[in-house]
Amino acid sequence: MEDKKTLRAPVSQKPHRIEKPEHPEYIGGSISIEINEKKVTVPLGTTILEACQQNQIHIPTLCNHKDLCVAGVCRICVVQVEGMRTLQASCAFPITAPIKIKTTTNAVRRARKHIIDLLLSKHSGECYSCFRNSNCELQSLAKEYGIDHYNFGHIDKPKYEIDDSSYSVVRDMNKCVLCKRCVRTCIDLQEVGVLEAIGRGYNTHIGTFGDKPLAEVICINCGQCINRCPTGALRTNDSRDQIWAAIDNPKKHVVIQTAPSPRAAICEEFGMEAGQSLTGEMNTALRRIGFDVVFDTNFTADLTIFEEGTELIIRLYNALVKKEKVALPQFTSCSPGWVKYLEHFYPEYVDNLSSAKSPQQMFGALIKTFYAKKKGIDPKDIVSVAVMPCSAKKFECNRPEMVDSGFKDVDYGLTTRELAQMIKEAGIYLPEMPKSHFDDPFGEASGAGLIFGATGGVMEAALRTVVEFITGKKIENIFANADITPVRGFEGIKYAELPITEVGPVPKLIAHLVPDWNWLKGATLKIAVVHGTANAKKVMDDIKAGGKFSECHFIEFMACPGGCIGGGGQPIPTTPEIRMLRAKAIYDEDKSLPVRKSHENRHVVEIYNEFLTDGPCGHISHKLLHTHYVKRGKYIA
Amino acid sequence: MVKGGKWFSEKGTDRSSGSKLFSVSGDCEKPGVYELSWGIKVSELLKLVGAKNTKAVQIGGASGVCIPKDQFDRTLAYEDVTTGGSVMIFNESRNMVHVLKNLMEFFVDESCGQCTPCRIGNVKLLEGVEMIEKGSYTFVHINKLKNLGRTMQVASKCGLGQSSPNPFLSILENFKDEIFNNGKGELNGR
Repeated sequence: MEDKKTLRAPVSQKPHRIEKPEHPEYIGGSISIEINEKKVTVPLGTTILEACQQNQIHIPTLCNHKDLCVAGVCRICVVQVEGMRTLQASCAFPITAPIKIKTTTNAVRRARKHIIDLLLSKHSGECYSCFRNSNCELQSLAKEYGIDHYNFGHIDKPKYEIDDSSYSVVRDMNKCVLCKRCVRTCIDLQEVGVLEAIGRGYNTHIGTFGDKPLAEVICINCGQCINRCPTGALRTNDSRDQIWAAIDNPKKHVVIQTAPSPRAAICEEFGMEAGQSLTGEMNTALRRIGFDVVFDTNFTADLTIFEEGTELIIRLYNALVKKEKVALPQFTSCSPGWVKYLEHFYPEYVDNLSSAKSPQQMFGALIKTFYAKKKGIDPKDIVSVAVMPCSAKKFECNRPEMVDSGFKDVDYGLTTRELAQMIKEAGIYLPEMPKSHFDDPFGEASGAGLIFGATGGVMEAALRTVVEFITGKKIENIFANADITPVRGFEGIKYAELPITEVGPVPKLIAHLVPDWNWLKGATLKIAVVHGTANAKKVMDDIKAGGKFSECHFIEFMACPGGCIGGGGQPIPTTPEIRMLRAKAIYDEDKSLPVRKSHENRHVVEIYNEFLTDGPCGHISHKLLHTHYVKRGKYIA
Repeated sequence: MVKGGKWFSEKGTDRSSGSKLFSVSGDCEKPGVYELSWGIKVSELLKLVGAKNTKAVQIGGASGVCIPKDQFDRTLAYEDVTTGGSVMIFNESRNMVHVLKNLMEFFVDESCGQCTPCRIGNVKLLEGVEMIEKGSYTFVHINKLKNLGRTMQVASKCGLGQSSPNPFLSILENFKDEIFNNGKGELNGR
């Protein structure tokens, strides 16, 4: 895809990382330099920072982030380059000549210390009352450079009001150090463009359009800025207190559902290396904290596959057989950040969004109807909590239309970080917990639901079911181990075509919707998987222009880079490597599960027999499991 | 143009050949733009523009250096005191702390706010000047600020932050008798 110039992301803001030669081993591809009098050879265009990191020389950084373009504004990473009058920011200095670098001269050490002193002089607040305590990059820099007092004073009164208008993201600009990672995240990484530096000089601050509260601008709540903030200036709107209150209230039946991604990442909050699943341990911990029952969101992820898959089949049937005008391609609706992005930026395409709710909201509706009835509990006494890797889920559960059970379907969204905090508050060391299972009647979930957490997961899960439904053949015969590899991986936009060469009988569950599959014989199913709203923008513009993606049938969109595993509620920090490890944890767990396809989940089949008696996309399911969207547009009054 | 490049380059000094337009302002009888040869002494220039009782000359604009009386035999040239053309003259009635404060306020205003040393550093230098003005300073703190200025000169991202500590450093160095030996900043000529 061509990188188009866009209005929202000015080209001047995109001095992306310097291209390195394809073959550094060729003559002229590498260059010899000296770092602290040690000779090393690096590929041409390597930054001084990278060269030092490759040679085990530590350079402190603050504004630099692996996911973002170079800024070079904090100046903490300065080094001495021989022959140059001034110190050079190592993150923004591509090596193109045989230079000599010194990283520990007096001027360098003094400059770094001064910069930390200056940042601290304007950083309001105290570490012990900050959620980033012991996970703060400014704090660790101060520790690294032995700052024991404020050399240039310390701001005594907060200057800015805390903006907690949004359900998802809270901004406390008093703690901001103006590294502009959030700005680069919003403009470059996500191409949403809500945050920007306002004012100049000492009065510079990060703000929204006209300094409006975050709830009144086109923020999609993806929370990627939170994940990249080096300090505690950005955080999620925390509902821990209300959840503790509900747990303490004996009259309340507190139900918690846990999404697939938190279990693959929560280990990081307990000092473990990324990429280890703590599913069973988390279940035990949640019960010990005081949650009455623990459910697996993967169960409704399986349900989502039924509803969304059936919806796709109906759309295709109406378009191909009945020749009706139908909004195609169908877009997934699991990612609330993506949904809000589409509502703001491409409101004319809201009909393409699957009307199926996200797994979180489906579960919310089921808990306060099906589960309440089954257990004989008054739904008004149920408090429904959802552990999500996501800040946008907090907004989603507060959408006014999400009350189909007659109550607020999901009462509170809880992020992975906040849950880890609750577990710590309860005095539990998670990795030492014994393992336990999820509770019935939703006790079993398939691997298909689990992989929703990684980009491509929804598509893979849907294909495992849809392909078996249509061809009547086992997916293992088509893709080894049922791993649909074309949709996996971290490429921004993935595209695949699946020719349907043979068809089988229509499964009983949806037999009333389509008489046979003959109309699909010989057709080619075209699908795409997109993550990160910057990539979504490319695909949407292509669809608008009638390009390749407009001919797709089904497109999976995730707002966050890497899918839910890289969500805005996940442990900080996040880097491409950490996201890869988390995804691996999810795929490994999927491999180990006995049931790996949504339609083989017997509990889901049961719920269609018992409760949603008119089948997927039937009347009852439409009432509880489907929703509608708002054409928000870019201008909010 | 008429007389050719050779004639032009005969003027001035070895490394600064030819003439230069100087914009002279401040305490003098004839402020204005003067075309003079490079290499002219500061004292000659002061005489030419009719400056009397001159205490200090700020050469090279706000980010240039400020030289006191005993250095007026220095020459305006790239090899000595360099300038883009700006010459500001202050006579004995001026308070150098006020001059410095004015210059630092200018830099606080002009800083774009991108890089840390310039964004916060200039404000800290200005606060230091205000402390001197009030007489509520300590030499420990002033020395800290001088060090900070030296950091700003090498660690700022662009030329503004790299040169904004120049007046702070040069005025505090060249006029330390006036500024610090007068107790609480109750200065001459106020």
